[in-house]
Amino acid sequence: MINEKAIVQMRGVQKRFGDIRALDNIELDITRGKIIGLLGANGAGKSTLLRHIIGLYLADEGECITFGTEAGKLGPKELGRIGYVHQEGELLEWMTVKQLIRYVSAYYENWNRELEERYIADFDISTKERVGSLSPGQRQKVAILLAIGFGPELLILDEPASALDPIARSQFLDLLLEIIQDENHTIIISSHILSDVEKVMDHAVIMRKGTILRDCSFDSLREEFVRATVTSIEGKLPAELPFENIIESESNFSKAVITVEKQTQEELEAKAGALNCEIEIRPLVLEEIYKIVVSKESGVKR
Amino acid sequence: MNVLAVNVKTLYRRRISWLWGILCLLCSILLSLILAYSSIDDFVSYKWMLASWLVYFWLMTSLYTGQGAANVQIEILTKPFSFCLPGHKGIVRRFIFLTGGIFSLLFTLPFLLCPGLTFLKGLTFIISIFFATMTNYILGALGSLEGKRKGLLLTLPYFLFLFWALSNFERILKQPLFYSLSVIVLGILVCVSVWRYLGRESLARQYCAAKKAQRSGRWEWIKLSPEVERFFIRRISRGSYSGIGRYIWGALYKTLGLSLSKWKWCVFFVLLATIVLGWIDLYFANLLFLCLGFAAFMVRLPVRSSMLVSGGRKERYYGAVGCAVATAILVSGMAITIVVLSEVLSQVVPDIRWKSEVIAFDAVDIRSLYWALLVIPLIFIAELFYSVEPLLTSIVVVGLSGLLFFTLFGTGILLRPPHPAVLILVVCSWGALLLVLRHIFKNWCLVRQRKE
Repeated sequence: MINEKAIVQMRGVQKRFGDIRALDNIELDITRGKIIGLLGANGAGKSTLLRHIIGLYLADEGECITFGTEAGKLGPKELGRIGYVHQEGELLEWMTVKQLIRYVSAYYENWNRELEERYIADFDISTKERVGSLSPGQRQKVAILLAIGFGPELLILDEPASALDPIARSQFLDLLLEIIQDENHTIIISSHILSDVEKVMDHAVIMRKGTILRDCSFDSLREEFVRATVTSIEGKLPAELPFENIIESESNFSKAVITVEKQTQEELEAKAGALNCEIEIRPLVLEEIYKIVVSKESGVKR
Repeated sequence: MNVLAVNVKTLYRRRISWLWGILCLLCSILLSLILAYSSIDDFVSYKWMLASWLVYFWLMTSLYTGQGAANVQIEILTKPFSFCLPGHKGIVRRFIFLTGGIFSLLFTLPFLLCPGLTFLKGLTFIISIFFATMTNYILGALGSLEGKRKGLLLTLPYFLFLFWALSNFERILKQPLFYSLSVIVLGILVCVSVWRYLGRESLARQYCAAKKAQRSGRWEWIKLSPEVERFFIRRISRGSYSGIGRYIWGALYKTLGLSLSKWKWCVFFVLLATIVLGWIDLYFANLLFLCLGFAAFMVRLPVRSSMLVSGGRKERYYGAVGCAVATAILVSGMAITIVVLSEVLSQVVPDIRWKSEVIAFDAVDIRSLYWALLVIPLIFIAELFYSVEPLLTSIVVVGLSGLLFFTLFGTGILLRPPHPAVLILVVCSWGALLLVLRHIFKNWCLVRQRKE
């Protein structure tokens, strides 16, 4: 089925590297105006998926359509709307930062000099230094600048902040939020630093071993899993708590901490009331949600 | 398992080492057969063309093996953890000398079959062959360990010697036989000094956590010239947004920008080559075209890159083709300059008389330029297919050059006017390069899968 609003559509995409199945029957639609968090362990297939979107990799089976064009046939018209920060950080080592910026900006008609200058000042980038002599953090800052300098409609960030220090990371997240103010822009961010992604993403794609486990809005994912502390007002808690869909449970005499899925706050409060218990409900952080989703799908008991 | 054994393990676990070993072994067997069925006099008096070329091939092979062994050590040394491994700092020289010793022994063994030598003469001959190979190997290793700048200074004179050796085979081959003792003493001196040099404390520190690009120090001493930058940037910016032209200029800038900034070096090379080639045997001077063809080995076609600009696969394809053509034009330009310069100089430079010999400055023959044009696309193809294994590419190039040398010198084809068949081969080799590039850009992943 074709989603006309989607700027990226992946249908049955499969990719193998020798014996390793890197992507297995991927179905994914990416729509405008969102920050999509691509989450997964090492080797889950995140980078492979991102590289299919821009045509650096070609699918063995299935199709990947970006901006209405088959990814392998993307040309300047489409690629001029895509910015990409790659995890290898491949840049032209022998150029100075200034020369590299001049080189990349020469390809784009709409290069934003004002943004470039502001970014260089904010992120404290030394433009006279050779790219090859930069620290990993500085390289990453340069790579981000090269990817955002022309105001791409689709910004693909593959582990963009792994080498950045906490202050630069925070500035970087602010920058993403600034970019996404324009509802025409879309950002796909793959990162291991889930606490960072959590602050900005509004859609989550969780991957494991080349497959997509979850593809949903972050709000719905957050609502799906909650942690509740149930405290008995009088005496001992029953051995079997009457809550449904309990994923994790830890209890002592009068107190239990449970993690449940697909339960509304009202349902939980009603059941706690019936037990004559107090209940305190709080949402889970992304890291906890991620662990639950991955362990559930892989059948690991928590 | 001790530290040295673990290091040696890195060698035999690589497929490339096995291939290299098999290639060396085959050459060794071939050499043994020749030596078993000829006399040593025949051998050194240049009667056995094939044997002479095998020896030359061995000279180059040992140099490459030395480089390969050093590269394995560099790879280990650059990993930060190896700095702290107990007993690892002293392993570099032990590894290099052990590998070199085994390799040199392999090369020496065929000479045991040399007939017509007395025991003492035979023994000194064998030992001198061993040390000659070892010296060669060590120079290769040292060249690699010292990085491009120092390595070039170290190995350039040696390469000039090898070049000179081409036209002085008889003299070279007679050294181990008639001056065995001097060769042995020289070999021991080289081994001892290099052993001491590699034992220095700073070696491990020098490489610890150093990035490959930093190690080569390529961009530390060569700066991108502002004129070159302006020239390319202007052309990239001016091109039509969806046009192919700007991507070809971009690819040329990315691939050749730094080399073009080194134009002073190119001028120096052209002058040096003109002078050297003018003085040496005209027959071998034509090798210039082959060497220039092999210069393509230094150029990396912009095929695999994860740095995204607005060019797609089609634009990248034209960019790569543009780079290959530009390389051929540059090489031809240099060759033509050398030929014209040598033609002019041959008119004015007087003959040199030394003892009874008259050494004349001869003009270089342009007719063999087509060899360079034939070799360039073949090298690019080899590089593209084996871009994952640079050493494997080296082997292919060495094999190809060996084959070419045999053909050229065995048949004397080098001095003949271009045969139509060769011209067809030139066209075919370029056609093959275009097809390979087309296949890559249509079907291959354009960025390597990172091993996590």
